[in-house]
Amino acid sequence: MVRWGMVTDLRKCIGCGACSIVCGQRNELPSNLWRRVHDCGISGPPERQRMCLPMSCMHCGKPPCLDVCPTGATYRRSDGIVDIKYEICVGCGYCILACPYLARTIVFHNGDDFETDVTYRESGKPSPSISFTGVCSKCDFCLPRVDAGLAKGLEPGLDLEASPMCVVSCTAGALHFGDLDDPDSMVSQMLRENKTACLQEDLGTYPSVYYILD
Amino acid sequence: MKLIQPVRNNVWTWSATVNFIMGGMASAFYLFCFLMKTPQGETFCTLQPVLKIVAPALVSLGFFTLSIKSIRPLRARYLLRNLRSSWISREILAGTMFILSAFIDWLFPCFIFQIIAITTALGLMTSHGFAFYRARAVASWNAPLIPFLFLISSFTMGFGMVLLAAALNGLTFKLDSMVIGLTFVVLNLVTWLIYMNWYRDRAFKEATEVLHRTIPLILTVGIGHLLPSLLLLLLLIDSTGVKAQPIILVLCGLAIVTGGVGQKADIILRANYLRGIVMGQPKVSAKVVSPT
Repeated sequence: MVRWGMVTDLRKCIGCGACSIVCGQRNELPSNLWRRVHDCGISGPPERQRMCLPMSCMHCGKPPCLDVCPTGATYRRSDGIVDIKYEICVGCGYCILACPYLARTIVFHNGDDFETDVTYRESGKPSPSISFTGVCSKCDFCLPRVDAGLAKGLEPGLDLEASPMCVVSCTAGALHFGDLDDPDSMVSQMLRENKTACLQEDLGTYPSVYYILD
Repeated sequence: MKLIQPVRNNVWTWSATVNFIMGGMASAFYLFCFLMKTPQGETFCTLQPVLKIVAPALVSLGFFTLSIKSIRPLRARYLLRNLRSSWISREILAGTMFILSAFIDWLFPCFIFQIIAITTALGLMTSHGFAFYRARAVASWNAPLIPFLFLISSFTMGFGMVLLAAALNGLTFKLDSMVIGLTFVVLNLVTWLIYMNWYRDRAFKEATEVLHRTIPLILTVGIGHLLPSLLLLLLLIDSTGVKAQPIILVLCGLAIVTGGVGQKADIILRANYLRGIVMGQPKVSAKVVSPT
């Protein structure tokens, strides 16, 4: 069984924010919406250490957002990607309050610079134009790219055309995508060879995004 | 290692607050109208049938405030699709059934609709607390005591409304009805104090710090509980004064409702911090864990 996941090497991340900008461009949303790079102070004086923390949806194994969604718009695919059926989301915001990763947002206003009514599915599916205005939205691991790549026989994580745009655009090579259930995948190897941690581990959400610290 | 500090959520604001306050208070008021008796042994809703329409009207008002803030109100038809696990779906179902059955029972009094209305009123009150409890990202809401606190708080506010209704309609209380009300006020105070002080979780403490400030404490503890408890005790000691002093009933009812509104508004609007982001302990050889 495939389970898509991401490994972020925080030793390499320089906080350039390219992943966030390209995510916004690809999905025709304001940047810093689905993907954010937080500048975190992790120690006080005299060291004043800082850490850049890229964050998006963690595509949890037990997503708290899934159970609370009253319309059933949020669903989890068999490959672990948590996605939203935007055409039935009512925008109640309950999932935002359930997600402990600040990963979900509602675009309340369609700003002048961004046209949020986009033809969302690029994978050739006959899908109507989907608006993100007034509904909850979040990172989907560039699901249409992954699906389209798989249809072409490409391997997500290795082939750029089949990988999420944030991974493709990462200037420092800090982001890695792949199948967590495949012991030979690059992400599985990285997890074996490095010290890794997840965010909000105490909450038992089983996130699919791991961080290499040092 | 805490990397990001808690931030306020701006998702559920005044409209959600109005909905949860109105829904809880009105449902409890409806139940009390059947429960509260006059010294002659008649229930309030028998003497004043118009009281039965007040509760569904208030619940409708709560739903209406939600709908005016929604950008996609027409999609409300999808809200019942996840009854299996979503407490918001359950709240909408219970609320809608309550409004309909209570309204029909008011027009054409019928025992079956009365039973449905009473059951769904209880369901509506229960769903509110659990809806908040399932909000994992908000530490002050994701506390096991929250469902009970919301339930008791709703009952207390409902009793406050009953006092106001009794004063306005010149109704008198049977002594044990008054004791039931006082019990809810005291129970709500105890639950509220336990909620504010019990949990040792750091995220919870940070989120609920605002509740410990002087003005919220005066409103929720002083005005909302201590004052009405004293007044109710006075009425109980001199039970003949229950009818003779409607001003005390009004004062007591207003204090209870004000305190209850303050209590829920404080939880929803002031202690609404989303959890800070914490990095787990790095593991030397992390094993990918698949949830079963």
